[in-house]
Amino acid sequence: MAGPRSLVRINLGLVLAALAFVLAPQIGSAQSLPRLEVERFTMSARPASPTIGRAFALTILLTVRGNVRRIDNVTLPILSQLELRGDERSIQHANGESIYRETLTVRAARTGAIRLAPATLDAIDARTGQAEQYSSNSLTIVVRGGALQPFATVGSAVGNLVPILDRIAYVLGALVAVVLLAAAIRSLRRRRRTPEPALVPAAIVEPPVVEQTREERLRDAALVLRAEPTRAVARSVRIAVRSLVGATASETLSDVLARLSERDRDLSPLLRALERAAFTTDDDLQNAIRTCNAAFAEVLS
Amino acid sequence: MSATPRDVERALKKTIVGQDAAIEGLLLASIADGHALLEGPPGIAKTLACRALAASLDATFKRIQFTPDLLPADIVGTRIFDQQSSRFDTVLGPIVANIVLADEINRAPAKVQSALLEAMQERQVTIGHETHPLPDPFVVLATMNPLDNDGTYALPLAQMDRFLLKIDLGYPNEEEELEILERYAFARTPLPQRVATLDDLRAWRAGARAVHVDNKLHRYVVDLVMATRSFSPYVANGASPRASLALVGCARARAFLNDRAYVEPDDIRSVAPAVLRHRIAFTHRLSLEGIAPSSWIAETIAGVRVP
Repeated sequence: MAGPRSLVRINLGLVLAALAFVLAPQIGSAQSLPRLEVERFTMSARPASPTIGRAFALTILLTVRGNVRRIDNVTLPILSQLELRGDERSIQHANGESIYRETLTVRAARTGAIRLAPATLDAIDARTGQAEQYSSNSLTIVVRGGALQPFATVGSAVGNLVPILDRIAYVLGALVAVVLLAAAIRSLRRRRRTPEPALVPAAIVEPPVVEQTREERLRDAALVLRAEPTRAVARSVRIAVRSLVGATASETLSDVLARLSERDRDLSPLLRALERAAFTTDDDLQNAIRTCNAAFAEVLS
Repeated sequence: MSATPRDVERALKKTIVGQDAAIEGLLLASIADGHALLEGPPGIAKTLACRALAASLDATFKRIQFTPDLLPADIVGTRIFDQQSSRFDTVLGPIVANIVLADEINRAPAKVQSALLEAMQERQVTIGHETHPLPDPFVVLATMNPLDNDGTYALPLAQMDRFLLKIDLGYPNEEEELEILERYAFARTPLPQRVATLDDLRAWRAGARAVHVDNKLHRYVVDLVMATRSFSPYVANGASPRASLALVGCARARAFLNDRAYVEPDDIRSVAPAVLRHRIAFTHRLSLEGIAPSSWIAETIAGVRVP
């Protein structure tokens, strides 16, 4: 039976796949790439260190020259570890520039560092006339545990205890704060009496960085493709798997296969299958995706 | 069961030791309905490869040795007065064949080269008032020797552009050279048996034309060609739009050769050096700085983002 984490992932996969579906027409047609003069392309989170279980904003900001009425081929990173709660897009015009802003409301389901790949935009550079893939910055979000974090992840049977535990935690927190305040006042008084060397600011202890393992990333990719077996999603998954084996933007499949490490050699059939899914005919697409799913199953077994 | 291009490839490999890239290039040019230019030092089986291709396809084959005193009529044909019938008869030249080997094409003057290249483009020859279509399939394989350039007539860029591919042949390695000695030191080089027919070749061409090319790959092709036209102190003229068409045609042929109904970026990247190398005019600065054109092309191709 699927655990709560798997269910969350499946939901995320569906949402992402739906997003990819919305973007599909733009991704699928290189001929219809917009001509843009991109000036700024950033991705940021507000707050930078959100709390687990609380919604926060992920903002993608794209500034282009000229009066652009519509930008709809920004490709979002795979948000497999975040729960998507909302997506708003707007374009504002000012000073001969168009500012595209996409605000995703998301919620983290676990603490620690979550790395987000850059958002991308396929467009023709109006300055050179050449097709470019623009990338925003990548982003690492450090999710902090909330006061109720240990209880929030416990099953529904414990849910009734939460209000009581909440109060206990609140009281304990207040006590700790009082003790810390007293210690700080005492320390200040002592420092006034005997001058000490300059204070070194205390290092902020970040929650440990939890890297996604290779298997987790593959599992996420497989889920996304199974949830929405379309060309656009297959292409996104292809890029994700290529990045997993360290492929650069100018490497073809044979370049990648020629230098696969021993550890990644089992991904060869998957890489081949994804290449087929990315470029085959429409008639063959579903067969190609089935081959990808089989290759994923083989790798993850 | 009808033959496949791989059958022809295997037959050629039985006759020619090594030169795998050249064999693939010949097949690609044949499947993509184009002409190929072969360049390499003497004695590395350029002519043999062309003969072997014709034999394996059971195609009519003619060889024209280009010399400085060759005339256009020696290639396309002429009209000769027949005293018995008291009229002029048309005698078609050696160009009327399925596979024509134009050996050392750069040794003939421009007028002769033009006659050949016009026939390549139009697929017909005109003698007097009569126009004669050339057979289908019609493939010209021209060879050039990069050495001994004294007294040769370099092909202008516009004429080089008519060749779909330029296949560079190099010397065989030690093992291949030993194998050549073992096979042919005391025996005449045998030509392969027929393994396919001209009808098969026509069917392969139709199959290759039906190969799917994604829009993203069209964009990749354009990016590659545009990269050769972007400003560089080493390049006087970049590749033409005909190069874009040739890239797509050759990529389709390669996909077909590999039993695929769709083109992958690998197909385009793989054929790009052969399609582009004879279509770019380099400045003298390239040779002054000791950079090989093939290195510049490889670097330029490697710099283009793969979709």
